Amino acid sequence: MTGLWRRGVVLLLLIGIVAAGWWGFRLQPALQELLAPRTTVWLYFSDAEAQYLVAEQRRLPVGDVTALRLLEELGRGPERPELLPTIPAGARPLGVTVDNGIARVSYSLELRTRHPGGSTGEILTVYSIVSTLTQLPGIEAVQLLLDGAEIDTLVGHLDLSNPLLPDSRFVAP
Amino acid sequence: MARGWRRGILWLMAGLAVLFYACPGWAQVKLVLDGRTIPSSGALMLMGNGLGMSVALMAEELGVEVDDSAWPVVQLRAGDRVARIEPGQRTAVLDGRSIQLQSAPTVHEGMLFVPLHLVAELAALRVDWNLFAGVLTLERRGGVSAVLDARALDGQGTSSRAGLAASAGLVNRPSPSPFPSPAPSPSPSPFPAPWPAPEPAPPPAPSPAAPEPIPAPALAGSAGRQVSAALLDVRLRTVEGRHELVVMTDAPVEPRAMYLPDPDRLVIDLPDATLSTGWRTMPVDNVVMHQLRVSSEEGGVRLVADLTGPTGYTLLPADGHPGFIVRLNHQLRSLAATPTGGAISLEAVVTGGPVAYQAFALREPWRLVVDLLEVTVPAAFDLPIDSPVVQSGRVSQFRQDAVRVVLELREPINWPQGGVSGIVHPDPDGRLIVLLDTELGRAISAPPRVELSNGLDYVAFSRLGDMELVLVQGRGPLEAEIRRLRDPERIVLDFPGVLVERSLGPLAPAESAVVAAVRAGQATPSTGRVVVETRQVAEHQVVFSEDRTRAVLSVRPSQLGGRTVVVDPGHGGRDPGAIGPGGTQEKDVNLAIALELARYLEQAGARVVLTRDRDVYVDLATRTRLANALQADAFISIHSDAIGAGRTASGTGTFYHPAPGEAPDRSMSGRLGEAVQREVLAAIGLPDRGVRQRAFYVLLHTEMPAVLVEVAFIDNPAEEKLLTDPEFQRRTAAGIAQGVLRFFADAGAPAPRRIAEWESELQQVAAAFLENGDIPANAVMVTPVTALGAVSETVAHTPEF
Repeated sequence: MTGLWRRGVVLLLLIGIVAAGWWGFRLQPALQELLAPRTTVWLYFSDAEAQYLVAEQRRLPVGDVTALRLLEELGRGPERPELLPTIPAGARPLGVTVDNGIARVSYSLELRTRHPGGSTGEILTVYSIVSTLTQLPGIEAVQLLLDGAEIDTLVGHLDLSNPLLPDSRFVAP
Repeated sequence: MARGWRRGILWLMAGLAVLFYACPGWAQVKLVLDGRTIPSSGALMLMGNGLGMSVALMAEELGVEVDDSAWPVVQLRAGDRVARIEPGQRTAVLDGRSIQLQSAPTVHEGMLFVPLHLVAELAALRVDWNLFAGVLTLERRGGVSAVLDARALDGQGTSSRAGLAASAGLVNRPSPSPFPSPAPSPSPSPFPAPWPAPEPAPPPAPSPAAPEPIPAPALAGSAGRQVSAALLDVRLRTVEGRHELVVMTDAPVEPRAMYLPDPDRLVIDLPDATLSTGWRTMPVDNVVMHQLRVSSEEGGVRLVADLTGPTGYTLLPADGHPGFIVRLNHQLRSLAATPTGGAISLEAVVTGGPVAYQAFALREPWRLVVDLLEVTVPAAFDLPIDSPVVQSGRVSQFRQDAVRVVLELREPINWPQGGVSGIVHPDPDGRLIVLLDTELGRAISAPPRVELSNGLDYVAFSRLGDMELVLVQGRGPLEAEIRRLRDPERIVLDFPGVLVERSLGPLAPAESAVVAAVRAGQATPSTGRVVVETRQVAEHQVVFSEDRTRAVLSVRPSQLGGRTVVVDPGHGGRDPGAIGPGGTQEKDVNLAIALELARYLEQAGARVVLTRDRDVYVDLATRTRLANALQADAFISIHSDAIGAGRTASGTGTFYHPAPGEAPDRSMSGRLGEAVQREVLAAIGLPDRGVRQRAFYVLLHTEMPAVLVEVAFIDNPAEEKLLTDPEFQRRTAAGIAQGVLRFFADAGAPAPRRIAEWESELQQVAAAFLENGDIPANAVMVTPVTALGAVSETVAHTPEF
C-alpha cells in the first residue's frame, strides 16, 4: 500500500462527493415533491358509453394544485382503461384567470380543430373542464375561450357565450 | 412647393369638372309650344333616370303657380290640382295624398327641378318621348301640345334596374300615340338615351304579329270622366307565344299603366271604373307573371300584375269589345356574343317566342345594331367580345318594346342598306341564336323550333273516400317538380319536357272540400304545369304509375294547418361537424335528412324554412335569429353524434331546453322532444338515449318549441353506414315529421295519419287508374279553354267554348 493508492481513494471520494452533490441538486425538486404534503384532486373523464363524466383521483402536492395544473393533468387522460379522455390530443390550456368566481380558461385552437365533434363529445369536453375546475375553491363557473377569444360554441352545439356552472346531470351518480 | 400647390388646384378643378358633368346632366332642348319656339336652355335636366323640369318653365309655359313661401316645402298649383314637394324628398303630396316620386326634386344652379312625371300629372300632360327620333312630346289636355326636341347630352347610365323602371314604365308607344289619355298622364318617366340616339331611322320593323296600336283619341269628346265603366272580366291568353291580359269592360275606359320594380309589377288603373263583387286574386304562374290582383280603389279600379321580372308591355285596343289588351314583352334572361369565323353569334335566352329582330349597320363609328323586339332586359350590360371584327358590345333597353344590342366594329362591314330582319323561334328552353354573317351581309337565326315530344292527354278531378285526386295522363313518362304556393293556397306540379298545347281549366269541382280549382298550361317553353288551388292549407302526395305515364296528386285537409317549422341541418360549409371512420361528414348527412324532413312537412301543409339548403356555413346566431324572425311554430335541429377517442356509442337522442320560467316537466320543447323521440325510435329502431335537457345554443336562443335530434353516432361504423343510406335518411325524416304532427295534433284527437303510409294508401286508392288508366266514374275532366282564368269568381268558372 502506497501513497499512490491513498491518493487514488481520496480522489475517488472527492469525485463521489461532487457527483452526489450534483445529483442531489438535480433531484431536489423530485425529492421535494416526493416528500411534500399531498392532497387529493379529481379529474373528470368520460365513461365508456359516453353517457357520463366519471371522476378519477390524483394526488398532487398541495402547493401545485392550480387551475392550469389540473387542466394539464386532465389533458393527459385517464389512468383507468375503461375511461375515455375528453380533451383532444394536441389541445393545450394556455392560461386561466379567475375573477369574481368565474374562471376564464383559454385553450389552444386544437380544442376545436382536433375535436371529434358531436354534441355528446362536446358536452364531455366542456363539462370535464367545468367539473374539474369548479372543485377549486374560488371557482364557481367557467368561461371557455379559444386562443384568448370568446366563443359562441365549441363545435356547434353548446352555448358557450356565457360562463357555465357545473351540471351534476353530466356526472356519474 | 408652389408647383405642388398649383398641381393640386388643377386636380381639384378637374375633379369638380368631372363631378359637374357626371352628376345631373343638362338636356339640350328646343321647346315648341303652340307653334312657338321657346328657348329653354337649362329648363330641363336629367334627374336620376328621368327628366326634370324647372319650376320657372312650369310657371311661364304651363301656368303652374309656384309658392315657395314655406321653403323648403314648395307648393305647385295647376287648376284644382295641388302638389307639395320638398327638395331632396322622394315623397310628395298630390291633392292631399302622399305619392312616391321617381326622383327627388333637386335644386340645381339656384333653380328647383321637379320630376317630369309629377309635372305631367299636375298639368295634365301626356308625355311621349320618342327616343328613336329624339323627340319628347308633351301633349296638354284640350289639345294644346308642346313638342320638345330633346336630346340628352349625358346621364346615359341606364344600367340599373331603376333605369328600366323608368323605361319600361313608359306606357305609350312613342308614335303614333297608342292610347287615349286625356286624363292626367300615367306618370310615365321619359328615359334617357342609353347612348346617343342613332341618326338614321332603322328599317321598318317586320311587325310579325303586331296589331296597329290604338289610334290617338279625339280629344274633344274625352271629358270621359262621367262615363262609368264596369270591369267585366280579365283573362290571360297566349297569342303566338306572347302573354296578353284581355281586360273586358262594358264601356270604354281610359287605362293608365305603369311598371314598378321591387317587386316587379305592372299597375293598371281604370279611372272611374267600377267593380262588381266576387273578385279575387288570380294565380297565373306563368313564365312572366305570378298572379293578378284586382282591387277597387278610390276613384277607380286597380289591376296589379305581379311579374316574374322586369317586363315591358303595350296597350292595344280590344277586338270586338270596349276593353283593352295588355300585351307583355318577353323577358331577356341572358345574352352572349361570340365571334365564330367571319360571323358573330348572339345567343340569348328569352321567356318565350317567337322573337322578331332587325339588324342594321351605322357609320362613323361603324356599329352593327340588333334590335330584339317586344323584349325586356332587366338591366343594361356590356357584352364581353373581342374579335377581329368587333371590339366591344353593349345590351340595353332601347325602347320599352325593344332590347338593343350594339356591337362596336373595328372596320366597315358589308351589310345591306335596309338592314336585315327576321323572326327566330327559341327552343323549348328559350334559347335562340342570331348569327350575324358580316362577310356575306346576312343574318341567320337558329335553332329551329323543337317540338316537345311529351304532352298531357288529360287532367281530371275525382273524389275517392276522403281523398280528392287530380289525375294526370301523360303521353310519355312524367317527371314532376312539386311546389306549394300561397295566396291563394295552391300546389304546383311542373312537368319538364311536357307541352300543354291548350290551356286547361280552371275547373272548379262542385263536390270538393279541399280543391278549389284545377288548371293546366305551359309554364315555360319547356315545362308543362298543373296547378291545384285549395280552399285551405292542404297536405299532398303524388304517386306515379309504374311506367310513369300517369300521376295522381292527392290533397287532404292539412294536419299542420299552415304552421311554420324551421328545419336546421347542423353544421355545413367549413364546419363539417363530426367525421365518421369511413370519412362521412356529419354536415352532409344532416342536410340529406333535413331536406327529406322539409319535404314531408311541406307535404303535410307546413310552411317549412331551412336554415341552410346546401353545403354552406351558417353560424348558430343566424339560424336562431331566422327562426325567431319568422315567429316559427317549431324548430327542429338535425345532428349526428360522436364522442371520438377511438371509442363509440350508439343510439338516438333528442334534446330540448325549457323556456325561461317554464317548469322542465311541462316544457313545450320537452313535449315536442318526447313526440319526436318516440316517433323516430319507432321509425328507425336504434337504442334509446332518451329525451334530455341540454344547454345547446339553438335551443337556448330560439323563442319557440325547439329540439335537437342526434339521429345516430356517425363515429360508430355501423351507424355511419346507416346514416349514409337514403332509405334510412327517409325513414328518419318521416319519423321526425310524424313527431311534429303528433306534437301539433290537438289533445284527444285521433293519432295523426302516418306519413310513411300516405304513399301506399294513395297507391291503393288510385290503383285502377295507375295500373290500367281507368278513370273513376265520378271523374270530371279539366277541359281546354282558349282564355285561361278569369279573375272574377262568377265568370271564372263558366266554361265558354
